Amino acid sequence: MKIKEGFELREMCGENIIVAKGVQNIDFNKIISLNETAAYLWKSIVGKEFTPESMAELLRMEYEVNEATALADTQELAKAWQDAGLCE
Amino acid sequence: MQQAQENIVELPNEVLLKGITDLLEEGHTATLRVRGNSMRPFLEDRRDSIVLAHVTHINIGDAVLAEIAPGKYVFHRIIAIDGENVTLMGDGNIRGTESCTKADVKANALAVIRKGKEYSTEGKHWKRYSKLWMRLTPVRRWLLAIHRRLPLNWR
Repeated sequence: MKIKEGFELREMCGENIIVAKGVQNIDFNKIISLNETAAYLWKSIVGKEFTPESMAELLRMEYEVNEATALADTQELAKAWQDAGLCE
Repeated sequence: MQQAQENIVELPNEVLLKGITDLLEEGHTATLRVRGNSMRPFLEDRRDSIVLAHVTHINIGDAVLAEIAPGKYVFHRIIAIDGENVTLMGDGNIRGTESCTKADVKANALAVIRKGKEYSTEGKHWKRYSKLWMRLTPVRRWLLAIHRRLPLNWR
């Protein structure tokens, strides 16, 4: 899968938030924010094809985590992004 | 890993609103929930929202976001403009006013969202309410006292 075009990760007041470019109104009542790990993965895979497996590999390059945990986490993350309509 | 939509993240005003004014300057508008009761009776703490935009010009009667001291923001109504000086008062306040300069007015409200319904600040409902409420300033104390005693779903 791939992050859809038009989404931008930006840092605002120490939070990593996803802003849709070209969408004028930003609704802070339903904003998507990413924690540090998710933001790292986002930056690494944006514009590229990725799978939960490739994200798990990226995760293990940066953090001390075993393969199974990394994969479980990235599967969950990929699903959350998909549910939120961020990737296709 | 991700904060889902149902999670509520509260950021301190001085942090959030500084970030928001930057976004507004880039041409975005921003919807955010109000905190506090200083814009009663129309807006209720943590229930209602406002849609903010970068401010281009201001008039008496406008509801605006202003930085009244470094890092201290209020969303109140303009009750007077004298040259560069602006006086603000919350609809839900009886006496207290705030002073700032025109440059401190960071955003104005395009719309207010009350009980899930959006009212444009250019629309007749908000305009009518604004005019009436400003005229009722001398008797606000009693109206607000009654309002406070209403059950939340009536407010």
